[in-house]
Amino acid sequence: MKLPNNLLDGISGKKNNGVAIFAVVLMALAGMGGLFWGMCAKFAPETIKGLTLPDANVPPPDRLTRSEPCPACGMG
Amino acid sequence: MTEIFAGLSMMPEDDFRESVYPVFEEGIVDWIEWSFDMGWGERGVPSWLDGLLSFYGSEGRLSGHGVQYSAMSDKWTTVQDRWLENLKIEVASRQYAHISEHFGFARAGDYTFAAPFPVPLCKRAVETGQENLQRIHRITGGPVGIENLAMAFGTRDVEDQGRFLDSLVAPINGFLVLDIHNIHCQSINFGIPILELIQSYPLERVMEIHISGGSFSESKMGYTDKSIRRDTHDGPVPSELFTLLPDVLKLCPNAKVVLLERLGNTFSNKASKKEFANEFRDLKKIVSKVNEKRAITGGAVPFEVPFQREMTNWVRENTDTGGNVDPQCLEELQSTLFMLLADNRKNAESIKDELKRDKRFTSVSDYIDSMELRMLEVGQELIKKWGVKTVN
Repeated sequence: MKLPNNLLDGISGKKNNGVAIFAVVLMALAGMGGLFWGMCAKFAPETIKGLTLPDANVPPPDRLTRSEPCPACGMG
Repeated sequence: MTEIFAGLSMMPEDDFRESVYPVFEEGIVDWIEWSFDMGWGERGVPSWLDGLLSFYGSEGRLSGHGVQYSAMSDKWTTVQDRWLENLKIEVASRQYAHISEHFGFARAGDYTFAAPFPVPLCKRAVETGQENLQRIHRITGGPVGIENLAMAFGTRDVEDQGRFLDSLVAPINGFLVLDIHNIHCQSINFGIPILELIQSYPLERVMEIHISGGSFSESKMGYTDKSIRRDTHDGPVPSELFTLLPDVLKLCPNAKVVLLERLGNTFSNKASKKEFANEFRDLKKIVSKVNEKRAITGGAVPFEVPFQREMTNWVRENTDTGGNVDPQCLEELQSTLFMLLADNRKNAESIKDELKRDKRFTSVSDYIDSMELRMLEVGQELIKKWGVKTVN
C-alpha cells in the first residue's frame, strides 16, 4: 500500500531532522543574541545599567526596555 | 475470495522506525498492528506512528493488540477497569478492524503486571476468560480474538491450549491469533512436531498469524542440558517458520493477515535493520504466492462466514471428573505462584513442593505435577524481568 509523502517523511525521520535543525538554529540565534548582549554589557555599561535597573528619575530616551534595539549594535 | 495481507506489528522506537522505512517506501506493507496500551503511558505515541495508525485505520487495515489486560486473571481489579475505560477512548479515536489480547494471566496478588503465564484448564478458568473477553467485546462491538501463549509449565499446558482458546472465544464468536513462533518454542521445548501442535488449534478461527524471532536460554540450576527456546522478539525469524508458513496458511482458511513482529531497541547495527526489512520482503513474497494460488484454486473461505461452534465436550467432562476448581482456588493459585516465583530464596523445586503441599490447590494437583522445573525456572526469570508490583 502506497503511503502519502508526509507519512513517509515521518517514518524516514525527516520531520525529526527538521525539528532538530530548527532547534539548533534557534539555539544559535539565542547564543548570538546572548553574545551581543554581552558585548553591549562590556562596551556600553552605562546604558545596560539603565536596562537592568531602570531608574524612574531618568527620562526617555535614556531609559531602555528590552523591546528597544541595543544601542551598541542595533540588534533587538 | 479472501486476500491475505502481509503486515507489521509496529513499535514506537527509532531503531524500529529506521528498519521498516524501506518497506513502507516500497509500498509493500498492507496492514499494521498496534499494541495500543503501549501508547497509554507517559511515552505516548510518536507523531510519525500516530499518522500511520490513522492512515491504515481509515483504509480498514489496522488491528489492535492489547498487552496489559491480563485476560485470564481470576481477580478483577481496578487496573482492568481503567484498561477498559482507556480501550473505549482508543476505539473511539482509531478505526481498528479487530482487537485481540493474549492468553494467560499477567496480573495477580501484589503484581500489577508481569509477563503472561499459563492457566490450568478448568471450568473456572474458562468462565473467567470468557467473561473478560466479553467485556472487551461489549466495548468494541467488533471481532475480538486471543493469541496463543509460548510460555508453558509443562506438556499439559501445551496440549490443552488449542481447545482452551476455542472455548474462550466461542461465546463471542471470536477469532484466534496464531503465533507460530510461540508454537515453535513449545515444539522445541516439549519435543512435539510443530504441525501436530498447530493442528491441535481451532484453525478455522485463525484470522491473524504472527511470526517473529526469539532466542535460547540455559537452565542456570542445571534442570536441563537442553537450551530453552524463548519468545523474545529480539532476533531473526527462524527460516523453518517461513518454510512452514504456506502450509499453515493452507490450514487456516479464514486467515486475513500475517504480521511480522520484532521489539524496538533490539537492532544492534545497520545489518540487523536490513535483515528485518528483508524478512518482511520474504514474508510479502510468501503471502503473495499463497494469494496467487488461492486465486487459481478458489480455495479460501471468506472470513465473514460465521463459525459459531458448539462448546466442546471437554468442559463438561472436566467438570464431571472433578477437574473443576473451587472459585477461590484459581485466584489464590495465581497470586501464590507469582509470590513464589518472585521469591529469590526459592528454587523451582521448592516452589513446586510448596504448591503441592498447599491444601488450597488439591483440585489442581495434577496440573502442579505437570509443571517442569526448567519451565518454573523460566517463570522465575520472567517475573523478575517484567514484574511490576502494586504501589501501596
